[in-house]
Amino acid sequence: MILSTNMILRATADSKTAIGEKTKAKVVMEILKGDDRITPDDVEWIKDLEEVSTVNCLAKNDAFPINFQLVTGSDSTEATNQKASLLSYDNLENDSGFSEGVYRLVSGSYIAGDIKGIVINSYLADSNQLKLGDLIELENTNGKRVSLEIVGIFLSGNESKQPEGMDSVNRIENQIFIDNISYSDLFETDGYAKVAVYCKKPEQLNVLEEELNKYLSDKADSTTSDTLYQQMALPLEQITRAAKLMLALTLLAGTVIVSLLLCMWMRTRQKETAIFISIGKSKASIFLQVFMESFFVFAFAVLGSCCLGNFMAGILQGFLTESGTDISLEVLLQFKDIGLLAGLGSLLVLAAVIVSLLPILRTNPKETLSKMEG
Amino acid sequence: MVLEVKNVQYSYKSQKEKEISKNVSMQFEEKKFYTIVGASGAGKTTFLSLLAGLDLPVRGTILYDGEDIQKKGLNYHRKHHVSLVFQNYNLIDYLTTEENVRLGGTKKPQDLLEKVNIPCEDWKRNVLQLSGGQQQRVAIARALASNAKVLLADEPTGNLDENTAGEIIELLKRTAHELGKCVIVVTHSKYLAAQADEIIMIKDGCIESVTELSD
Amino acid sequence: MNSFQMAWRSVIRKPVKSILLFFVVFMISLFFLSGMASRNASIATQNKTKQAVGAGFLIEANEANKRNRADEILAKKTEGEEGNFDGVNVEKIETNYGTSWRVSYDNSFQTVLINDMEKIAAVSGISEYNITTAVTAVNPVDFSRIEDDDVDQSSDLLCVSLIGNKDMALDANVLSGNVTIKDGRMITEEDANVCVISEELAEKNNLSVGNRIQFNDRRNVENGTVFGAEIVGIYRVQQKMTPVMAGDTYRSENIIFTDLGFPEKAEGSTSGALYEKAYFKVADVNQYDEIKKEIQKVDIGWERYDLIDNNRNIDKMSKNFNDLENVSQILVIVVARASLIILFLVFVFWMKGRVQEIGILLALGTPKIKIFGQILLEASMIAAAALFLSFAAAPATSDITADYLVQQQVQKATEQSVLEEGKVAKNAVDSEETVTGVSVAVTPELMLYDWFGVALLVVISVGAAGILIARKNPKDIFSEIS
Repeated sequence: MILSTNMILRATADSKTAIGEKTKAKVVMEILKGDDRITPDDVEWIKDLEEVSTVNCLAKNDAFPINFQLVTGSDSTEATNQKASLLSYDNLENDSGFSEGVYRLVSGSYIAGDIKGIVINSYLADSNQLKLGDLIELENTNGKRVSLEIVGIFLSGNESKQPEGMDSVNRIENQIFIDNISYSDLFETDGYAKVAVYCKKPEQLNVLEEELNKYLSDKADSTTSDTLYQQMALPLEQITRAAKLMLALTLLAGTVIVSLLLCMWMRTRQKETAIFISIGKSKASIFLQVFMESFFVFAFAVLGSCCLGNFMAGILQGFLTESGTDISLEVLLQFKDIGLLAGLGSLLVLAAVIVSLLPILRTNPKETLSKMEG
Repeated sequence: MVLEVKNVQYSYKSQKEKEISKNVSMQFEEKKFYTIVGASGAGKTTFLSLLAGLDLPVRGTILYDGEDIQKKGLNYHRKHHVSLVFQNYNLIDYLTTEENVRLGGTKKPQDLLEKVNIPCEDWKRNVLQLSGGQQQRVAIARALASNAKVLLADEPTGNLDENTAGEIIELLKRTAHELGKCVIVVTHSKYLAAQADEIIMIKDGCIESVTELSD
Repeated sequence: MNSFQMAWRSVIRKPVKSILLFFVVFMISLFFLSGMASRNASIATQNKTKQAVGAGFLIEANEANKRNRADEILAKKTEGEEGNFDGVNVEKIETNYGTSWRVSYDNSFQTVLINDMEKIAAVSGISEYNITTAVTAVNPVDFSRIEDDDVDQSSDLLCVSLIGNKDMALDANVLSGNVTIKDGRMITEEDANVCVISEELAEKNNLSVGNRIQFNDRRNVENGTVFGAEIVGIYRVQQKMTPVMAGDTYRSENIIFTDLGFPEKAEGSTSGALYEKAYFKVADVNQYDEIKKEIQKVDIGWERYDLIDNNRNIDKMSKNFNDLENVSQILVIVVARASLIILFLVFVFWMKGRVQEIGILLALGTPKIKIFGQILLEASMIAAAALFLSFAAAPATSDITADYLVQQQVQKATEQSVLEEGKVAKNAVDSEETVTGVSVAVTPELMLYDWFGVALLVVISVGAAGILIARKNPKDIFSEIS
């Protein structure tokens, strides 16, 4: 029972950690000056930090369209009216206008870990008769060209409200979202304007922020965001407490019940104890004998429960994760579980033997024996 | 004839080849005091157990007033036909003297306790607080409480001193001769055996002899 | 003597044995009760956690439908004609590249219809809703906006942006936790002609809560009617809000939140308000799918709208919540099974000590069923007394459990709640409720379960233990004990 409860406590803690990670607590590092960017090496350093689960790097630049036309309302001949605006992300769904509801994906997919390509505006797609899967070419100011696949199409809803005379690079229709690898292909190692660093454990957000500030203090400023976690923090904590409480209750109940059982057992051995005393055996040696007996039984029981425990762990794992969670709960019997059990159990046996044997040892053997004989 | 044993055979379930009682037949009458004697392991207690309906024979029948005891069930037989007295008294340890006697089925335990000479100040005491002899008398009172025609006793004086044993034997004799019951006692005691109207000698599970003693 | 009399005497006159058994049952009952109460508390907190995450539905105008309606209207007009056609504006533009046509829509054409939103809000399961206007550019009359000095403002509208909300606490920027109130409060449904400005704007113009600022139509800066709004709050952001389009007009610092009706007045709209979206908060996240089905049955012109799920967070965490719930259930099962085994062993132990007594009673002709009945009665008496005491101790247990679960959190939560009143998103369940409302009460229902559970355990245990003995005949019993 103690083993199971301990394993369950750990399963609860694991679930809580999993939920904590999914609250997406993050530190956002934003550069102070446009030309001093967060480099890919900086990003690698950040990813190696223990507290970090994922990063989302953002960069921004402009490029010329090669095989498609931009949407423009201006007749300016400046370069800014001939370029599209590129915004790169590791994960477009987070830290972007999409997460704020400014843009909405109307078809296709977001740029994410395994999905590389570009997401373009619906009006841009319509005016160039482009669709998902089509390839467009972009060129940087140095003449380097890259071909990119359209993986998504977005809308803002404010396209028609833009002022007249707006250069193409500023128009919503000409905003193109791109993955960082393709971005690096086009612009070489440009560095990032913003990096959102996601924390594994929201409780350590401040620690993470401190570390990042120390490392990037000269070039970036930090802000934190853990609203969802804050909203859930109190009840999440209570969940763990409830499980810990159960463990404490189990221990307490187990202690008391085992003591009572030992008392019952001792009472049936009154006669035997009285006989030993009457033939001259010392009370200390009787106590030792009883303790050794109880301890051996306990040791066998622990061994048995450990073997059963591992089997139980497997079953528990099955019950707990039959929903097919992506987080693997390690409901395993660990040495520390066994150690805890052995330690606590020994103390328990000792206490119970003392409590149960004391009344019998204190009684006059003549009284005990005459009570037995009648 | 109140109790009859016909060709009864008995062996333990775990040792079917070893017969404890072999083809035993015997008749018992009311107003008579019987003793069953024999060496240790001869099968005396087993025979008594069968008479008491504590177990069933492998073969043969036991009749009470001409009727097979299995017809109304062994429980009925133990409750209404026979009553038992044991060597180690077998009283209920959380009941008083009176309450133990009441267990036998009587509503007036006091009369019986008087009959077996238990003083009234002991009636409400816990039965374990009485002496051995007193406890045995309480056991006999309980046995008498059921109004069964047959009283079976297994070594009733085994744990008692000579004087007390004598008192118990007298009580048993009076039970048979004055109260008209059939009293059957298993004993090792030659003295007790000599008090009987009939002595049944058991050897190797068989009745070797039945000796009628005259006064 | 009948079974009851025997049972009573056995219980009372063997006090030590009875007390030992009493305490075993007492502990098991209390353990059971505490386990179930903890399980309930655990599930309640899980539910509150889920509710704290929040979920809802978003309604936005369907773009394709807008274009289709416009196309239908324009198909009826004469080729080359300019003007307003049922809310669709057609304008000819001559550029260096030739003639092009610009089509735009009136507010009345493209707005989300309030009547439709009210119908959806009436669906059972929707706790609250909000309507948000489109970002509306208006001219700041008596205050300065935030501008980037290095940027050419010639193509900028030189305005600030207004976002009107029926209930600002349900605005997307507030729900995400990005926007929080630094000073003052958020705008509510009852407010009119009020605003909440950014801390940067407040600092630049030396404005504070209670001041009034004025706006007018950007197309008629000189003569447009001026509308004033009282500042009821100053907000700050964690991350700058993404502008809806380029230009300082739309930058994060220049965004001003107002009541729902203000933007259309300030911009001098002649075609009513432009409501861009509506958000419907679900009362119980567990009912999300059912509520969605009900919403889809509402009689409105659905082709005009997109119904968007807003339960991503809950969706991602649902498996973990399921695991937690499984954990809670399993705990109770573990407790129950352990209790059964322990109680069974205890009774077997207890019964073995009564073999002699059972033998005696059998020898006296007492039927086995009556003996079993007596023992069951004894066990029931002791169990009943133990249960009664555990129920009496239950409120104390609940208090201790509840105290342990909430502890210092109550203090912290109360402080936090006072500081944040009216300033944080409505996603968070009220802190006080989350903490002190965790019910670990041992309810009559729980007690009934406990009683039933223990009673069942006693019957099964005594029965099973009794069977071991009942299978023997009296002769074997006597051989065992002699």
